Amino acid sequence: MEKLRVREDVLRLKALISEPRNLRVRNEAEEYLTQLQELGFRIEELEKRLESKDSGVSYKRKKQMVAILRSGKKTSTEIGRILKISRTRSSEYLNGLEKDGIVMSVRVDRKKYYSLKGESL
Amino acid sequence: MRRVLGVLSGKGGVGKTTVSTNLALAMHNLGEDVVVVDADLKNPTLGIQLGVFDYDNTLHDVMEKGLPLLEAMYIHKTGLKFVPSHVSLTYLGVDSSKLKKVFEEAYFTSIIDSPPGLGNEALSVMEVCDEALVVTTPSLPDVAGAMRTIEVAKSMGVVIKGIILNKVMKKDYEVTASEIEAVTGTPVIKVIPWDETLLRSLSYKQPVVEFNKYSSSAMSFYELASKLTGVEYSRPSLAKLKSMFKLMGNKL
Repeated sequence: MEKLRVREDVLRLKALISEPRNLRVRNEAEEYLTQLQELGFRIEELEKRLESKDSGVSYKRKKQMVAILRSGKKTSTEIGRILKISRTRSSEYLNGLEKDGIVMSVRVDRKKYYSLKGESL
Repeated sequence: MRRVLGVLSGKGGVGKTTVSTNLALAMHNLGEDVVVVDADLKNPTLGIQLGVFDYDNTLHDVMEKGLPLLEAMYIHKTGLKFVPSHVSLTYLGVDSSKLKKVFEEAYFTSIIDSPPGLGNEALSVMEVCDEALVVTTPSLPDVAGAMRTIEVAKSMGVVIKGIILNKVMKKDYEVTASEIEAVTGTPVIKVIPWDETLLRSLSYKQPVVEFNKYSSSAMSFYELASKLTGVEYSRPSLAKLKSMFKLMGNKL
C-alpha cells in the first residue's frame, strides 16, 4: 500500500500552482529554433533573388524597395515619391522585381499595388 | 464509437470529478474503452485525484497550440485513459470556446469533467456533449443549481441521462431522490452514499473504485457504470466484510 503523504502532496501542489510555464518554455524554444532555421533559409533564398541580375535593377535598389514594401502594399507612384525617382522609373524597377519573383502585383481599379511575395519575408 | 458524456453540476463541490474519475474507471474495468477529460480549465483536479500533478501536454496545450488530443492523453496505472489540465495559474486565460474544435476529432467514448455552474467554460462543455449526467448533493442549494443546469443543458440539445445524487447520508433534512425527480422531471439514476473510504482514497490519490472496490461508494460507481454500458455487474457477496478487511489492510 502506498504511503500517505498528504503534507508533501499539498506542498508540491502549491509549488505547481504558482509555477511558470517551464515545460512549455522548452517546447517553445524548440519551436523558435525551427522558425529561425526556416527564416534563415528564406533570407538565403531572398538574397539569391536580390543578387540576380536578370532584371537589370541594382542590388542596392532592390533592397531599398523590399524595405519599403515590408510596411505593406504600395503603388509605383508612392514608392517613387519615397525613393525620389519618377513613377516610370519606379514602375520599371518594380517590374524587374516582379520578374525576379520578389514582388507581386494586384490591380485594384486603375491602380496597381505591389507587395512582397509571401516567401520573400 | 464517438460518445461524449458530460458530468455537469450547478454548484461546485458536489463531486463531479470524483464521479467522472470513478465512473470512467468502473466503465474501463467493465471492458468499455473510455477516456476521462478534465475540462475544468480554471480549477482542474482530475490529475490530483489520479496522483499525477504535472504533465508535458494537457488539454490547455491542445486548445492553445492546436495539438491533437492524443498528445495530451495519458494512461493511468489502472489502465484508465485520461486527459488532464494544468494546475498552474498561468493557464487561466485559455479560451474555452476552442473545446468544440478539440472534440471534433474525438472518435472514442469520453467522459468530460465539467466546471461547475453556467459560466462560459461550462457552456462550452455543454456544447460538445451528446449527453450528460448532472451531479448534486441532497442539499437545497445544490438541487437548485442542478435544476438550472438541467434546463440550460436541455435548451442546448444535450440529452440528460439522469441525476447522480451524491454524498447521501439518509438524514431527515436531506432532499430525497423522489423529490428531486419530481421538481426536475429527470430520473435520479444513482444514489451514491456518503463514504469515508472515498475521502481516504482522495488522500491516497487513488479512485475509490481502485482503492477499495468493496466500499459502498465503489460498488455504486460500478452499478452506475453497468447501467450506462449495459455490462452486467452484481455486488460481490460479503462485500461489507471484505471492505472492512481491505480498510484494515490500508491502515497498516
